[in-house]
Amino acid sequence: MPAKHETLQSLRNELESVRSRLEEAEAVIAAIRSDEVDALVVNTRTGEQVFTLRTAELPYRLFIERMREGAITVSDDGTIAYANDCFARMMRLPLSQVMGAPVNRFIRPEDQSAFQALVQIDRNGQGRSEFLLQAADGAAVPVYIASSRFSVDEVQGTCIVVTDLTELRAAQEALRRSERLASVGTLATGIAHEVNNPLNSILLTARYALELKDEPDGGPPVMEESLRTVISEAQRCGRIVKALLQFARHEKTGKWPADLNDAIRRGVDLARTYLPDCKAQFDCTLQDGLPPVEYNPTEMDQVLVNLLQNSVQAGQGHVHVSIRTGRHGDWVSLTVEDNGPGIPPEHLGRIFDPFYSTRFESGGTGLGLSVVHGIITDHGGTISVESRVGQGTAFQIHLPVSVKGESTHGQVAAG
Amino acid sequence: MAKLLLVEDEPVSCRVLAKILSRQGYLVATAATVEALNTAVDFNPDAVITDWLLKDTRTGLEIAESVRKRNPRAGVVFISGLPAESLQGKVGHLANCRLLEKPFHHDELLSTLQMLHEQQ
Repeated sequence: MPAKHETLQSLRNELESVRSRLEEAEAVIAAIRSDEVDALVVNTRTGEQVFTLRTAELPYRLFIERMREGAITVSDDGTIAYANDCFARMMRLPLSQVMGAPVNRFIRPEDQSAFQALVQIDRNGQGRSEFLLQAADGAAVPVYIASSRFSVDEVQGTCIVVTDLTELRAAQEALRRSERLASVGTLATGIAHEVNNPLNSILLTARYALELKDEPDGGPPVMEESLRTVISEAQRCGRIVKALLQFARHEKTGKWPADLNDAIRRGVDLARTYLPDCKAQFDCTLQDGLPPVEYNPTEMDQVLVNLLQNSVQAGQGHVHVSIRTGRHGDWVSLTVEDNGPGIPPEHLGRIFDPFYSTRFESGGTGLGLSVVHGIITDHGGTISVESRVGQGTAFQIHLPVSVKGESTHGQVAAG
Repeated sequence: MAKLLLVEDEPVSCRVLAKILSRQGYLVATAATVEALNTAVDFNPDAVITDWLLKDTRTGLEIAESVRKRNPRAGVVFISGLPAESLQGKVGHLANCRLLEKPFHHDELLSTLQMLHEQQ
């Protein structure tokens, strides 16, 4: 029994001594970090050795330690070899728990391969991308990552500068909200105008029919004609309201990487169904082997249908529409070009505004192109238009190549 | 018989309004957009009823001005689906003119025309 007691006691003493040495070491590291220490004296087998810390590298160390961006060094086995304080705060963990931790701890499972692609697949290159990290408490942290490879004394890894985009994102969202609010006034006036016109027709027609019901030139024929007018004008109101709801229901939708050509083929088929009587000719020239882009299939169908409908209605049915896809660097392009009447320059700047239409009488609601613009912007893309009166109109859309899709593609190719 | 020029590019409203006004004994000429400018000169109406926003991006104001070139005392009724307060500032300086918001009752239009006639 006494022997066991003594062993326990000696283990306790040893633990205590290790703890105090650890505390001492941590205090030294903290002192080095806060720049309170100039030199370290270390006992070695060959005697005492002095390590001077105030070297020419001090400015670099200060720069990294004090900068307001996260900085980490990740070795090729995925361990965080070094992190600065800013990165630890971003991940909501003490610095001591960040250093030595696997970097995957801060990356969502579904993003692991994309992250690998960014920092490792292209071993010679430099990566830049927006990314979503996961803090220790599970919160998603939007960041901008700039990485570069290093290789020192047979140690290879990646240096990464991590910029927290949380505040920027919040400011952008607030701006979008205020812009949306400001456009509500314009929108309300537009709605009033569009709905009041058919309402006026309904009101006047109904009153006129009532007045004439007992007159010699009135009676059933006038009544029937009036009722038909009332029905078609009421249906017009319905179409306007429906289009408005579609416009207002601008919620975030799911997107995933896929071949844009699939959406084009489906959209063209849909347009043929929606526009059964039109004599338009649709010609597709789709480039094979396009890199994937992230999109919501239903929304992309709508983009195609709206653009084709626009061409067909502008050309009053007899129109030739050419639909082309291609790749330009990190972008996939879609061009929809018709040989219709074209858009006069004075209208060109406003065609993406809600409720701007030159074809209200033929069932246009003035929302089709603004819906297209909304969807493309939400997909991180751009849309532009070129038009010549008497020659035709070309809409050009650019969508960013998917980073996720590219990495999957790259890994398959590499493996 | 008083002559009225009706400029309205909503075909249904235009047709029904013309019938209603004819039944009240007005001599009505209808026109949509640009042709209204010529009709205005030839027909020389006593009053004009014109939509504010016309499809070829002209406004009712241009129609009213061309009618008044020939007959400066002609009455003007602007009709529009836009809220009246948004147009008030643009036509407030014109004498002998009224604004009617769509949808309106045709009795309102008839009494407005009567009022303009009495002021002439």
